[in-house]
Amino acid sequence: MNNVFCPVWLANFAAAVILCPLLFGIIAKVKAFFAGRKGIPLFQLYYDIFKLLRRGVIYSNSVSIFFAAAPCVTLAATVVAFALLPCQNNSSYFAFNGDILLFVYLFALARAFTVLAAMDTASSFEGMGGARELHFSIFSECALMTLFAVLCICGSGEFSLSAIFFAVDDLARNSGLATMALLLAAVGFFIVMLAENCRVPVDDPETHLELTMIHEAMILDYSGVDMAIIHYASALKLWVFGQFMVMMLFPQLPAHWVWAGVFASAAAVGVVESVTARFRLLKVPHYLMGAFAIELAALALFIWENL
Amino acid sequence: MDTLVEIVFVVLLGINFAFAGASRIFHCIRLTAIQGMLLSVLGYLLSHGGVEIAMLSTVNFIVKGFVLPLLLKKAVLRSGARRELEPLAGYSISLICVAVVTAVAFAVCRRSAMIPALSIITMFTGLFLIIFRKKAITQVIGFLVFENGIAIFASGMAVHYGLVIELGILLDVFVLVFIMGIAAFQINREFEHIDIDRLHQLVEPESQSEGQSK
Repeated sequence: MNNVFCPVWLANFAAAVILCPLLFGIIAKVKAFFAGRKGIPLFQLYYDIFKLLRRGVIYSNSVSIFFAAAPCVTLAATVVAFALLPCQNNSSYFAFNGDILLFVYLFALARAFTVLAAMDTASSFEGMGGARELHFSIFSECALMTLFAVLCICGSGEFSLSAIFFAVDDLARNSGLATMALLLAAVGFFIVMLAENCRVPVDDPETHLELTMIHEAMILDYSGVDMAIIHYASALKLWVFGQFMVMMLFPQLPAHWVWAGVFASAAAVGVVESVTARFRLLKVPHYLMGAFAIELAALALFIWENL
Repeated sequence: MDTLVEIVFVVLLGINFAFAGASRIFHCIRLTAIQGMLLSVLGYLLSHGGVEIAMLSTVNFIVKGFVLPLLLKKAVLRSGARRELEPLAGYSISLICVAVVTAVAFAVCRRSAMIPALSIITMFTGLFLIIFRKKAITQVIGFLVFENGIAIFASGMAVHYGLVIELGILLDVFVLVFIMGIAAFQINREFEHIDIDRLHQLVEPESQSEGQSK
């Protein structure tokens, strides 16, 4: 694969980096609309991040270097993962054969550091959050890897995200059933997206100091710049997952429509958050197993399609 | 037209997974309603039109999409059963079972026969609900799903017996659900529960008071 530097891909990269905090604003606006409220400003996360950036950082005496490193590692992993995504016909500048595995493991790395940092604080509360995060990630990664198996098969043996999305486009044009299988896979991916980004049926980002929270429990000890980085990284992660879903369904979409698609997926997350309650913790594995089963069905459809 | 068939196909496929993962009775009933509606649409789409088929599909749509779910809902409300399903096999295991059957069905049927594959999966889901869920009402729902699976097969093979016979089949299903709903209600009134694994304690009428005390 020849890595050609192209302006559209760069524009997409810049747009995501600048616009991603807007996603949380959109989700909040949709939820406010459903609740009949006016809601927080669309740009609230920008304000929050700027406010936090101007504040100092306080570290507990007992934490090690892990605690300080975790936010930076999380942000770096998310940015690199995003850099692997192609955009509208243009393969990623960093694409190489096998980057689909790197994509998964970068998020795993970010998660590992977040959990390690949470345990580093020796707070039982944060340890609990870390344990839950790892427990649920087993199931969501199961579904995610099955999805990637689907994509690799439909990408006819390619293992690079860019190449796969080209192949997906060809396939979708030629076979209606493959499109439907992709749609099924996208439904499963949406469930994983909700879990990975700590959204409502699995975790409620608005709850602090509640016994059922997951992601918020792990970042209780952060302050100032570190907190800003964590907020920003989670917004960018939501963008990465949103763009991944849009690319899966419409690989050839022009860049500005991809952005619209990402905003639409954020709105969909908001709708889901408005109409569903958070699951009991014991039900979350079932829910993620559902995503896994859907991906398995999509995989079966694809294998069957290629027989 | 073809794309529409495929969309209906995939949604019907997804509904099977929803059945395996659903933990509420009313959720299951809503799913049977959606399945019935899509089924009649699928039957019409695959048959290439005709007034008779259109009429049949409409009747199917109304009976399976609205009347039967309403009967089931009434039966649940009257029996006052708890709303949870109390599965014998957990939801995760059920989901994996359905996924495995999906893979096997696709492998066996190949791509020329996508409707029979869907029919096999749907029938399996129905049987699975009958076997692995405790409530008497779930057995009715499982039976309905099973029947829908057979109907999918019939519409896929373009088997049409004519208006009278198809309406007769529909009437059979209607009466069966009606009677089973009443049966569930009666069982509940006698024994104060509709868990089928306790029905082995059923005894002769003369010792009915013993049954009531359980």
